[in-house]
Amino acid sequence: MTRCTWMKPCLWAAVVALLVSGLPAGAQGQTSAASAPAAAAPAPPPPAPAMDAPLDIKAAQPPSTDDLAAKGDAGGTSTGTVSDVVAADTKKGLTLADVVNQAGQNRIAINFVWTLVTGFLVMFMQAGFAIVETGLCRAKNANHTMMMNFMVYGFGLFAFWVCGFAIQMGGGAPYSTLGGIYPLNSEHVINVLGKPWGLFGTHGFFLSGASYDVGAMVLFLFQMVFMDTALTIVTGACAERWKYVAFAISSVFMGAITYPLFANWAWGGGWLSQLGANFSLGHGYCDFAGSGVVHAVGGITALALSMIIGPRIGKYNRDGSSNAMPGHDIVIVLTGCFILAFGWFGFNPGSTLAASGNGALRIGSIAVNTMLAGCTGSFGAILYMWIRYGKPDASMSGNGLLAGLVAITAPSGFVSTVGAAIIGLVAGALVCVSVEFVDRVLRVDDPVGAISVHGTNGIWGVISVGLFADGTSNYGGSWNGVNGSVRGLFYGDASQLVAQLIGVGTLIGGIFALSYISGWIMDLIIGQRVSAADELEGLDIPEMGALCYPEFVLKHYSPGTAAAAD
Amino acid sequence: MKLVGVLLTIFGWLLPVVGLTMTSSTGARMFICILGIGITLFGIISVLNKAHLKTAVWKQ
Repeated sequence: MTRCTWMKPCLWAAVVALLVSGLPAGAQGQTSAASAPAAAAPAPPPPAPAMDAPLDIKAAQPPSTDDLAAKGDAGGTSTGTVSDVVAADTKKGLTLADVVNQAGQNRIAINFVWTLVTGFLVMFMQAGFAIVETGLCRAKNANHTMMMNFMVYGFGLFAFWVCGFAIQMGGGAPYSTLGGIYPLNSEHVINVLGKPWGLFGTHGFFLSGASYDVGAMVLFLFQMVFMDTALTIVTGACAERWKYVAFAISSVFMGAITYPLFANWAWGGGWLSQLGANFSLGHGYCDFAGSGVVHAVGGITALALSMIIGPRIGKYNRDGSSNAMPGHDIVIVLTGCFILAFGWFGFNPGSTLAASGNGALRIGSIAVNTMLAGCTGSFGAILYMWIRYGKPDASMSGNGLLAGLVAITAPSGFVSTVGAAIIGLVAGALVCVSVEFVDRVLRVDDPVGAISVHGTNGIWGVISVGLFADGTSNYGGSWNGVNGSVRGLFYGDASQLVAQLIGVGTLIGGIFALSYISGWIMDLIIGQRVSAADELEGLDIPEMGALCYPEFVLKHYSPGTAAAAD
Repeated sequence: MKLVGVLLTIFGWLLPVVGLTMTSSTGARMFICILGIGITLFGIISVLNKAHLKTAVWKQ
């Protein structure tokens, strides 16, 4: 047989073999195609467990109580198990519904504890403010100044409980991080020029009725300590010549009306917060922890009342030049600044009102921003004073720290650490410039620099949100009812700056006018200022009946002289 | 003059708020805001405070 003879049959066999092999492939393909729907069809999911069906707890292998009793749990690996989940119906046993409900309650419990503990820190700031202000005043007024800061806590708290909290937060529900607090759902709204304008809340007076609610209690405590910070700012600017009774009435009015009004507009669902939803201005007025709501309200009210009360005797000469009136204890001033810096870790990070969910894990960033701004604030102030006057001034360094902390309060939840450092540095220099302006140009006497620290830098903090907010924060996907993250001018949203400027205008226009008019009326009725004789003697004896330092001989202050006269 | 100062302060506050309904331009709104803040500051510093300084205790 030749090669040609056997190759032909082989070739034919190969062709036939190829054809035949294609058939099964085609058949398989067809079969695959025919069976593809069956193969590609996903397997039906297992039936979901019924929410109320009892779970097999033993499968979770909870530790035996006998074992725990005998051995304890040194490593912590056996404490906190399925045995600790509470069953709603002990006869039925643990169900999926119990587990899901426990998860929800755990989240709210974490947020409650966080909010309360940070609120306790802010409350302790009262001590810081008290000793800062007292240290910056003269010794003959120390008792009076301390007592103003001591009792502002009680006066403000009482006013806030009676009506301030209701006005501020009575209409802002739901507060999702604290379980909703649904009773606080009544906001007084007027419709003007085709838009709704929320003005004040109307639920929550005396924390009674439906607002006798666990979430409302947490929110009340937290908001109250913020309110009191604003009130105590005023006592510093008006110190050394303010009648105690006038201080008491002013504090009650501010805690009941002035502060809660602006706070409602910014935080309680009022018109300022809705500028984004109503007028497409970014996310509306954004003030994370209160540069505007707390500090600027306090500083601007301080300006209004200081103008009405007038400067201390001896502060200004007949030609308008001012005399330095140094405080009596730098030690407590700077110690007080540290206490305030510590308390600010509650002020800013606590304003998330959450440590679980809704972007709350940003609390670390907020705390670091706070520290950094305080640090660079003190740098800005000490450098300014050192360059300008040749010495690093202690009281201005302390005020620089505070200025940085005030300025970062509004943007703390929205900016990066670089932004925070810049904001603080500017604040430190700004407070020094502002103190000189208020003292020498306005000729408004402010013994502690409260107007500059809190008013000027509170406004700077509000503006800096509109500049430095970087769009990386995410507190539940929206802010003030507008989706997305807050973003300032430097990150592409100029309209956010406009919203902040409207907030600034409201502060220096609306709040100043309200504070000035109320202070003016009070001055007409009871008089704000003590008599000249009492002021020269020192307010401790005439107003309080006791000296702060009875065992010390206080030196007589002679304006314009370096040496003290006996 | 104190009353004039207070009224200017309030006017400077309300101007940007009302201005929101007059224009939707961000630039125009920003300009109105700055104008309003300027009017408010003028009312406080140049009118109201000056009225107080005329009767200041250190001038008596």
